[in-house]
Amino acid sequence: MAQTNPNETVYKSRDLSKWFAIGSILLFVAVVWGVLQDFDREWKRYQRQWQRLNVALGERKLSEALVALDRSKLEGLKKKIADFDTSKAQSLEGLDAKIKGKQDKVFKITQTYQNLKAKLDADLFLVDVALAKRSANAAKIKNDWMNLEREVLKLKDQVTLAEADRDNALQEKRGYLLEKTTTEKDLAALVSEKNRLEKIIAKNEQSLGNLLRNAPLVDFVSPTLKINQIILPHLKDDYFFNKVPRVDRCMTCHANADKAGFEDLPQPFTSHPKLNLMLSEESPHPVQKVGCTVCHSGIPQSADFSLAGHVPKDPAQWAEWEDKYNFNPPKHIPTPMIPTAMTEGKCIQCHAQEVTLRDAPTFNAGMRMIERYGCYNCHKFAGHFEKLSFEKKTGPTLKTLASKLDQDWVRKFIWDPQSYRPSSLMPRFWKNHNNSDPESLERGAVEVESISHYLFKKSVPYQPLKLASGAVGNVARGKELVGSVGCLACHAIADFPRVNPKDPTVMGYKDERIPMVGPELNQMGSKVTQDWLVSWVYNPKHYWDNSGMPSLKLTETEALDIAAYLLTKRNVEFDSATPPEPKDEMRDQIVKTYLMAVMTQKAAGLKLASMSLEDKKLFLGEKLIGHYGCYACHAIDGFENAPKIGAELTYEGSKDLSKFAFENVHAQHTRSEWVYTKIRTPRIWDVGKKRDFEGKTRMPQFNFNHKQAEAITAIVVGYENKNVDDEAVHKIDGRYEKIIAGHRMLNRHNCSSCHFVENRGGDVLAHFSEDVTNGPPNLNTQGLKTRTEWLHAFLLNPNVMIRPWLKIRMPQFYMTDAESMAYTAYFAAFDKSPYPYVLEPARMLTSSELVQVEGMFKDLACLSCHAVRKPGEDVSAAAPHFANVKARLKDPWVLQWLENPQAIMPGTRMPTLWPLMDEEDPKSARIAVPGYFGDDAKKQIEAMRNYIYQYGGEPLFPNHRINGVSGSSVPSAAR
Amino acid sequence: MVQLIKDIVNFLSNPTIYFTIVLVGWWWIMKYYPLWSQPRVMKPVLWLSIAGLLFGLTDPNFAKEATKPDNVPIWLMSYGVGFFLWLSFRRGYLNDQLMAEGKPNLEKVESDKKVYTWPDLVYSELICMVLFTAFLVAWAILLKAPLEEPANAGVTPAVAKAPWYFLGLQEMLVYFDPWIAGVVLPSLILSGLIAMPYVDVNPKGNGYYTIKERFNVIWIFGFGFIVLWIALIFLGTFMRGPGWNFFGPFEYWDKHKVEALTNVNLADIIWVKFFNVGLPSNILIREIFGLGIVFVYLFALPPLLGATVLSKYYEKYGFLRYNVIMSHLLIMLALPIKMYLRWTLNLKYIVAIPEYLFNI
Repeated sequence: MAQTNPNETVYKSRDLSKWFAIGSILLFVAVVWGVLQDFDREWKRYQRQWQRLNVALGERKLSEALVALDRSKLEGLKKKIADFDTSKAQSLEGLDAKIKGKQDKVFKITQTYQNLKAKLDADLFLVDVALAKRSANAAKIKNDWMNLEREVLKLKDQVTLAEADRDNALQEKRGYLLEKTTTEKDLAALVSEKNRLEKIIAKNEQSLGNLLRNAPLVDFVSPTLKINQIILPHLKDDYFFNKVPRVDRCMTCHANADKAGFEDLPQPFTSHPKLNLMLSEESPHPVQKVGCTVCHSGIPQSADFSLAGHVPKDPAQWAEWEDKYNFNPPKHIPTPMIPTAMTEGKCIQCHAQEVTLRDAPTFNAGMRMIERYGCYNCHKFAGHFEKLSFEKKTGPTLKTLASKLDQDWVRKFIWDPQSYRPSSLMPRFWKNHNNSDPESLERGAVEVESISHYLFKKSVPYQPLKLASGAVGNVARGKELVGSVGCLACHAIADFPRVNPKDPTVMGYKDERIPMVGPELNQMGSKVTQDWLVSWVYNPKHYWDNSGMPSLKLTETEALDIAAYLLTKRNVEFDSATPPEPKDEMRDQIVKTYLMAVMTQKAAGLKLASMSLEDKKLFLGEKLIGHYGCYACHAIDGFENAPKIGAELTYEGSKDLSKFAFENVHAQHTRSEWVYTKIRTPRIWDVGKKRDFEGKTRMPQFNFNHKQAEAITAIVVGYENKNVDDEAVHKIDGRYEKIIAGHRMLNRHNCSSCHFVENRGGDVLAHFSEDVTNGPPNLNTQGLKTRTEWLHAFLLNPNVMIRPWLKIRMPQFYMTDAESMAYTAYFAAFDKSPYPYVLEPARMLTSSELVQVEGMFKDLACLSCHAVRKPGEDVSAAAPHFANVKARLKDPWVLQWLENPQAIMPGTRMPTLWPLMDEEDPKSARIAVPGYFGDDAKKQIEAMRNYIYQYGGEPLFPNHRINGVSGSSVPSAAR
Repeated sequence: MVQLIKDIVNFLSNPTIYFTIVLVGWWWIMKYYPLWSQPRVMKPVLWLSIAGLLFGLTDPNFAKEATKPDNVPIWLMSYGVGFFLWLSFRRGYLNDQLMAEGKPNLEKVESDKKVYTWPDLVYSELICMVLFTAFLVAWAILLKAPLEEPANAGVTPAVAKAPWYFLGLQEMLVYFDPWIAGVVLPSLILSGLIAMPYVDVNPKGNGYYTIKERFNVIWIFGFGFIVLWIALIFLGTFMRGPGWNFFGPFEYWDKHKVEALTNVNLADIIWVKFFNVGLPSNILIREIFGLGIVFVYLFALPPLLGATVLSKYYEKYGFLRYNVIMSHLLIMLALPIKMYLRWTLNLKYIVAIPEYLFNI
């Protein structure tokens, strides 16, 4: 090509400028796009929505306020102020001039004073120097300084006087203006609601000013749309390199969570459903202190719907959220929210020691179920359950099994426990997700046989008590006894259906999730022999000293009758079933596999050939009990020191999500979902997996329903790494420690199955709904009521008949001294009563008082009920007699009782003898019994109490025998 | 049918086959460039690759990895490298033809024009800057930074991948001891690049594209860059999943996948397999064969080759240049050699002295 024009450039300037223009426009568009991307945040949409709602609500209220506003009054006040201003203008001017003159004077003299004072302070240094150097004119310098000081003090006085003068003038003006200021105050009060609403509207409406404040790039100055956050200094997030106080931003969108009155608004603007417990200022958990994520989990600092860790409850909701919130959660959410039904489990974060919480039914149910089903036997949990695991195994001892059961029964039972008793707490180890194939079933038959064989071989002999041997009990009498003496508190039986009240505050309400403490009795005849059963109901401790079953202090005949009745209850289908038949080849194969783990194939073959059938069964029995962990719940010979076989669950709630293997199960990848699935279908993870026997999951199949599984999951995921500072957790002082110990005891002895305590429970009272006075007494004010030493003795040996009309009996629990003490301390602590309680010496009545009290006593006919009944007499209308009042009751409580027995024991037969003058007002005076103590009800009650405390002879402590009920008929061997 | 294609692609993507294909491909590229550098040949290839990519995107497993925001640069890199490779070969081929006819080459024609600082240089640079900034902003908006949960020392990812530009290095770690793959080889890449102007005695090819005049040098550089670097980055990005296990492009990245890796050392093969005796306890005797091979490869081979087949080059370059070139070349070649030994003999180390952390 030829040489080109030297002035010609390679690129034409015109073209380049065109490209530059295009590039600049593109860059500008990209930058604007970036800014808008950054500006457009999801949470702003909700805040705008809330602002609109708030304006609409405010405007509605404002129009109401304007209607209610007294306009004539408003105009009148305004006019009054205007009139004042015009009429008093001149004299006000004069006053102001006077004040200004005085203020000027104050200013002038203050200036002089301050200058001189500064010089005085500075000169002090010169004085010090002169003195230190001992200079010749030190004395003069000091003298000059002191003169100056006197002058300054004089000036200071003048300042004070001038200020007082000015203040007087100001005061004068204020007095003059008083009329105006009061009018202005009235005016402000009149329009305060209107002004408040107007302010809200102004802050929330889409005015130009607000739009500007929220405009892109300037919204960092003072926006009305902004992230609302709560900093929780005592709740730490572990970022692995540093622990950082948590910052909850949920309130950015959930604007009203802590305020009442928005219950009807849709999410995210609705109020928290339990404001009296959570979030509100007055509740024990104000939002500023606890935040939201401590219970709900989630990503606290995120203000984006998907990133915050919201978890839909089902696929339908997921689809709904996709439409509504553009729901698209990232894979990496370390702490997804937990379902609202499970939030109570998170109470553990701060209430780590407690087993029962006042307003947390799911927490209570979960804790109780873990105890009842014995989760803690296989899994370690720190805290309460760890203590529990040292105390008791959940299942009965198997060390004396052979005397109680027959081997076929055992094989059938462990093969499928629910086929014998549908409500059995014993879980099923066979016929589950990973062992229902024919080979596993064959294997199971061998396993069941070997395990039962081992148990029977190792069982030590036990001789039941020989009671009235040969006698046959009366079934009808037995049935009556079972219905009346108190068996129904812990055992269900079809002949005595109970109707559970719907309302949890009603006596006798029982949380359906928590199983009964004792087994259901509808199949007893298919299980045990008469000798064993008679001995057992007569005294359970004779067979098993760690049994939770108390003695109901039955007589021998009663025991015979009850046993006779229970033995009529049979499970016919179970009776006719046969245990699975084991195959020898299968047995050999299993034995060989176990042997091959420790020897060569050849040696294992030789060893197998040398083993007898008996040897094989025992060998396998031991291996399999160890494999399945039967020993965790049952005491079994040879496994006294075996470790827990389950995984520790103390930190399950913060275990890394990637460590939950969902395998082939399609579920949401959250902790709660995994734990829930595990609890309901423990072996589902093996489905579709090739696993050898040792590698299969072993957790047995419990029969939890949805609600139960939910409550247990709540607790399990509630256990987390500790990230709440000690300052923030619930303080456990001496009193609270006793209450917690009491709650543990209440669970251990299952007191609330009979007694209504802390406004809960009293399950058995559902059988007494027509007259609660025939059921066990409620334990309201128990701490204020019974004397420490009496209650202690009573619990150790409850053989005093207090309420002669009751058929239901306080059982003998064979408590230890310490257990009984724990109860007395608990009741006292709960009711804030002094502990131990010392009875004050009774005040002796004067003879005139005595005459009056006795008159009153007769008028009120106290003895018509409170008299000692002789054996055989009708006791249906009897009341506790006075003889043991002094020994039993605390004297201040008796006053409380006499005043208002219904408040303490609703439904009691005790009449209110001194009713209130005004029933509506509990503070009004009480109506006196006419004619005594100057008709002063208070004096009458006190005199009556004093009289009762002098009544009768020696106080009766529970070691005395009364009404033929004997506590010592229990053989001493059982203690 | 679709599944069959996918299975074939998965099979061909196995590191052994993939690497062999790339290796043969490079040989083919160098041999048949007059053919494939023609637009009428390359256009269908480009369309075919795009069609293949679109087909791949219909597969969820492929699409998942291909569209990850951190993997998008690899596509840009792959197509970018491909395009410029083609461009250079095209122009080199045309130039070679022009020069053979005695005409000035393409660059000569262009460089006869005058190029001004303004507007030719500065203005066009400014435009590029503006356009590229706009592109980066848009990219940042459209493909969000792939952030994950807070780092946790107790929970490391199933695979810890290097940044994309180091994935070739990470692939080498599979075959070499870290001190070689992580220290020696990268250092030699740098020293080789530094040495290049000093060992290059060919004055041709300056300022214009050519293939013929620098054929061998292009062959060797392309082998190092395309085969041992770009291709391994591509492999590391798209075919190495959890546990650095191999996954075909259409396979699901299942972190539970297990690969049987029972590798043996050279000493095991010789002493145990061949001689049927145990390993000698003396380290030097045990590793004598490995050490011997390494010694022969690095120190005896260059003079031997210089004296025989490469004597022409030895004379051309002289002692120092020849040895610098040879040592770099041999170590570069050691990588594919080791890879093939691993694939065929399960060879772990040629010299294995873990007692002194010395493995080759």
